[in-house]
Amino acid sequence: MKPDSATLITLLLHFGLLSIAAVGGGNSAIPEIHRQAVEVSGWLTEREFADIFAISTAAPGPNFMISTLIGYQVAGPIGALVATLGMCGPSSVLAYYVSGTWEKFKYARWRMAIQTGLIPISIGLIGSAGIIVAQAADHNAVAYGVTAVTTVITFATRLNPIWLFLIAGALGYAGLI
Amino acid sequence: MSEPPATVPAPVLRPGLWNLFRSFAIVSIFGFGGTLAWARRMTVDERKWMTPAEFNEVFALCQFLPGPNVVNFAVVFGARVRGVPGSLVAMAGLCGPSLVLMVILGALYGRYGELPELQRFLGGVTTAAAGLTIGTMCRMAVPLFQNKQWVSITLMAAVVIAVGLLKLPLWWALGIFLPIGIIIGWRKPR
Repeated sequence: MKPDSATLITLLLHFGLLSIAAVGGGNSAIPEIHRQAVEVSGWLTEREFADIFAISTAAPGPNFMISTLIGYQVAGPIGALVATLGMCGPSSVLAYYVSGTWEKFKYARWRMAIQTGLIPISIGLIGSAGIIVAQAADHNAVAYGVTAVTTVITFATRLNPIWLFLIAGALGYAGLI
Repeated sequence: MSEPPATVPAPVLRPGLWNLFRSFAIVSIFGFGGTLAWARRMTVDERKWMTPAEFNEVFALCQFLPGPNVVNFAVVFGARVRGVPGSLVAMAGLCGPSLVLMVILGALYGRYGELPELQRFLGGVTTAAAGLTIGTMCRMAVPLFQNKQWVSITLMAAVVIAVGLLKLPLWWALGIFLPIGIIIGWRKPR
């Protein structure tokens, strides 16, 4: 796989913009990553997207690593690096500078207004990410059941998700999902 | 970018660059299910680089900022203790090992992804990963319900419908919902 520079620039721009648009954290960007990768660019099929989401969620490390895996799928190791830099770069530069002046506006009304306003939006975006992945992954009653049970367990307990992944993976392996 | 931003007093213990890199690399490698919780354990509980109050302060800032929260945390914490090199080293420690792991997993997926056994296994894992994400959303929404913030709850539901079900592009969604959110926040700051 030899990445051409146009693809790399597209990756960098796409994830660079998402870095700033991912309000409240990296997972907020997942609906837009899906839209771009599957629907707009055709980088991945729906099933590949679901697989990559599963791999990056189950693997240790920061949750935005789905960007890294997509970068890899699109343009190999360099693509992975470019997508990661895109996803972290702009927000990190912003973080560095804002951190220096945070004290000045920490209690400013506009600052609190933005933060309060962002909360429901970022929660809604994370929920959207879950729905989009469920639509890609769930094709029968058992699958919907596993998603529903995992939702409830995640909500109600502090069980390490790795067990849920293993059980669901085993059900899948057995051909039930 | 010469002076490190100083928002809270520098922690009593100031890790060196290598220590910073190593610590964030450990967070990256062991951070199953929420790296930020691991970052807190490392900086506050184990190494005493920050007090819990300092952590909460930096955490609020990182939530306010866009982009991956835990990367923002590495950047801000790194800058506090060692300036720009500290930021870069903490970030490299946090992202480097995961980047390598993802390239390995990506390569394995490229090679074996079509195997029916792996397909079935991954298909199962995905159904749980979707539930994990929806469950996380429910957990995050609890305070909104506890505080009876019905307007915010309506906004949240509108985002789910627009983005999750109607597949509205993020830019449109932000353009429409961000001003509404800010107006809600302005009228009723926390």
